[in-house]
Amino acid sequence: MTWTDVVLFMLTRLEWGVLCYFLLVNSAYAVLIVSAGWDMWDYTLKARGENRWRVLGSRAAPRISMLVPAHNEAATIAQSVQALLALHYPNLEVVVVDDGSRDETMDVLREQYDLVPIHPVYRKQIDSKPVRALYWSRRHANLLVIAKDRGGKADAQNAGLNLATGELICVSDADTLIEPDALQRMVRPFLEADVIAVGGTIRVANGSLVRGGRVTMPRAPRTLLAGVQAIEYLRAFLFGRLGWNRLGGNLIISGAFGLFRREAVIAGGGYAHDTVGEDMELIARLRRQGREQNLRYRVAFVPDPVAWTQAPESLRGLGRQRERWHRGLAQVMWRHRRLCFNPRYGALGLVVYPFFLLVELLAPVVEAVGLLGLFAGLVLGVVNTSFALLFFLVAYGYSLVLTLLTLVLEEVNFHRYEGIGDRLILLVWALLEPLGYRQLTVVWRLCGLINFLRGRTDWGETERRGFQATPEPQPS
Amino acid sequence: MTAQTLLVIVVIIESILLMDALVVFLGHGLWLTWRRRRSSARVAEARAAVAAAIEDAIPSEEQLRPLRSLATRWQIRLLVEAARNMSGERRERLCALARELGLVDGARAWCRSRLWWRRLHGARLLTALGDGEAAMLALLEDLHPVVRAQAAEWAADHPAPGVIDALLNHLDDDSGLTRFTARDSLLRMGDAVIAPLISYLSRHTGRRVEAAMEVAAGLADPRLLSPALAACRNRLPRARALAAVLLGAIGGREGAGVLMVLLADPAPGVRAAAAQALGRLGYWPAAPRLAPLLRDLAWSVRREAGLALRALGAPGVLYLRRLLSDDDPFAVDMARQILDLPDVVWQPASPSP
Repeated sequence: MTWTDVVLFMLTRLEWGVLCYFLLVNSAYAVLIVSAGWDMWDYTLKARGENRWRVLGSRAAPRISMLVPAHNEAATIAQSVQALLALHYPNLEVVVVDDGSRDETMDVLREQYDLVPIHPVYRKQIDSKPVRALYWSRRHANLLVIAKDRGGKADAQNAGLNLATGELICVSDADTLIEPDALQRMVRPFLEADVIAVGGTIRVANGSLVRGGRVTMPRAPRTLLAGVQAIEYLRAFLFGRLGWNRLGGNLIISGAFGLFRREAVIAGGGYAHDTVGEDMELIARLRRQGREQNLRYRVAFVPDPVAWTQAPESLRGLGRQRERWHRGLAQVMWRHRRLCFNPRYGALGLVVYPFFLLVELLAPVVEAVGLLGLFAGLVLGVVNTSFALLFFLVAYGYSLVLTLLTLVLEEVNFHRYEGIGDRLILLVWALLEPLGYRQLTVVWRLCGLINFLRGRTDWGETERRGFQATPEPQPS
Repeated sequence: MTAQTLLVIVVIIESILLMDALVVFLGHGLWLTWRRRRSSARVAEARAAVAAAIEDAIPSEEQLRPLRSLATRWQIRLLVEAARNMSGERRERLCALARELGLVDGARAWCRSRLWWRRLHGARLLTALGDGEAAMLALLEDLHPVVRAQAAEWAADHPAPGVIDALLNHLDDDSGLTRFTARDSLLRMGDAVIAPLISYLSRHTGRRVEAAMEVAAGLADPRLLSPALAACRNRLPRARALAAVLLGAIGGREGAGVLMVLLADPAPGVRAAAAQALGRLGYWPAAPRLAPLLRDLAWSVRREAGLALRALGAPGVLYLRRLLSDDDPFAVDMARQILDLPDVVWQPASPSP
């Protein structure tokens, strides 16, 4: 057997391996989309015609503390806090944690909200960097501001957890816009069952009309990079996370918008400092501890509470974000490796963890190997060109089917985007997303894996664009 | 069949699926746009008709025509929209209008459906209109928890003895949503609940008392004194803690005496609640009993005892000062923190027991 024969043999086997992986992953996606459709149907039936003002006006509604870590956010903090204070929820406390800002964040808050220093008797249940001062607003009795030494987002959230008084805590970024009635919808699963965390849908705000900290007119993004991300977010939330509701629960609640039972988070030890995937790590830890202590901890996802975020519009910013996300995923998977195929953890160990490991974490490796192998196969003549083309069509078509089914789910249930123009634009982004953009994400995610193996743990630079008031569309 | 043929078949299936999804996505969008354009004027006209019908005791057929011409779904939407902002006579008129349009009968029929979501839909409509007592009473015992919860929501506006008893029985329902809605409705009913609640508390023990005490603590009525005193002997710590909260709200020498006993309760939640209640009452004879609690192992008890001493005024502050030279460092620390508090204090809401 010559070297050429060995290479050809390897390439053939590799292609079969990739094909099997492709079938496995897409079968899992098919199950997820069916599960998401089922859950969406059930949710819609329960929510149709519901009077949410009952929860809003109820004396029995659980208190929610909104934790807002802020670091050098002087430009946007006043508007963000104002939007949070105006959320439609009866028993809400807003806890802003200034994480050692060097700009005028504290001055802006002092001026805007008439802050006075306070000295509450509180218990430091979770470790965090020293708290320098605490302030209470004379204008808004439910606003608490914590000024502390710089310790990062997780540390700021831990400091907030110590001071927050709510039964539930809502975590959000300073640059996330939350819809006014989102909390009313998010709180519902906590009333129904032993739920410790609830996630809500996050959408891309680029291109939408933003006024006074609210998205007043959702519109499909007009630029390619934001457009394909809008499609990606819809797919990730409406079928990825919703699908998991019935298949063993979610492992990720986005750090940009999630609601947690405070007691459970404190008992779990709060947010981890040494990972860039602290939101996922917390959920994995809480669920793991729940199984270990025989507690019925559930993590739910509610499809319609919407928070809007500004997606990066530069390749550099997006690349850094995706690299960080994948590095965070790798850190969490490694830290909780005991879960893998461990029957002690039920669906979490036997279904959810293996899925995240094989489909989410290792996908870029398999995709990269598959693409390189395909290229080599074509060059060496091992792979039939027409077969390769057909295979590409199948893969592209399947991806499009999943995306379009997600768009159908969105359209039939929420139809947030008004007008046919926006729908057509979304369709264009859906067609373009698998061509080029997805391959780029493979590169970024591979970088994340490599950096994880190198032991990198920093956040790197993060881009804050803020929300500009988008001009209103002109009538045609 | 070769692999290539198989792939061709898959591509064909995908194409069919894609076309279907595309038709639904764009077709739905087009239909929504068309419907919005077509019905916006008619809906506005019908909305005006609803407003006029509510103003006039007997609306004319002419007035109702725009409303009748709409699909049932739209009629429901308009009436529910109006009902949420209305009460008294106007709501009665709105309900009469719904009857006239046949919506109430339709909702009653839905409430008898075998499909839970149809029953839920009917229940939601009847809740908004405040009608359909017989149908809603039956739904209070529905098999589906969301339907039961909806019926409990309806009950908030119908404080009849039978309804209150049914709600009290739902306080320990299997479904969390039903429990929450029942509690909320009972709290909204207010005074009407007191007598049935006293009777309920006298008849039950254990978890049922615990659930009922949550309502009692929320109502904080002096007539609940004797059930509160009885609940202080309940085997469940949460029930005793809630009883302490209630006693703190009601006051009275008898209640204060029992609260003093609860300061020695084995459960820290109960001790903390009792300390907080005594502070709230400003019952200064409790100061000597509160001071040792600053050496308690539970932080929440130390905090509540310290704050209670502060609330008692001079006698409490005297004890706090003495505690600054105590042997227990935790007691010293808490006493210092409490004494360092400024005159006007912001305190986060104490966690519920």
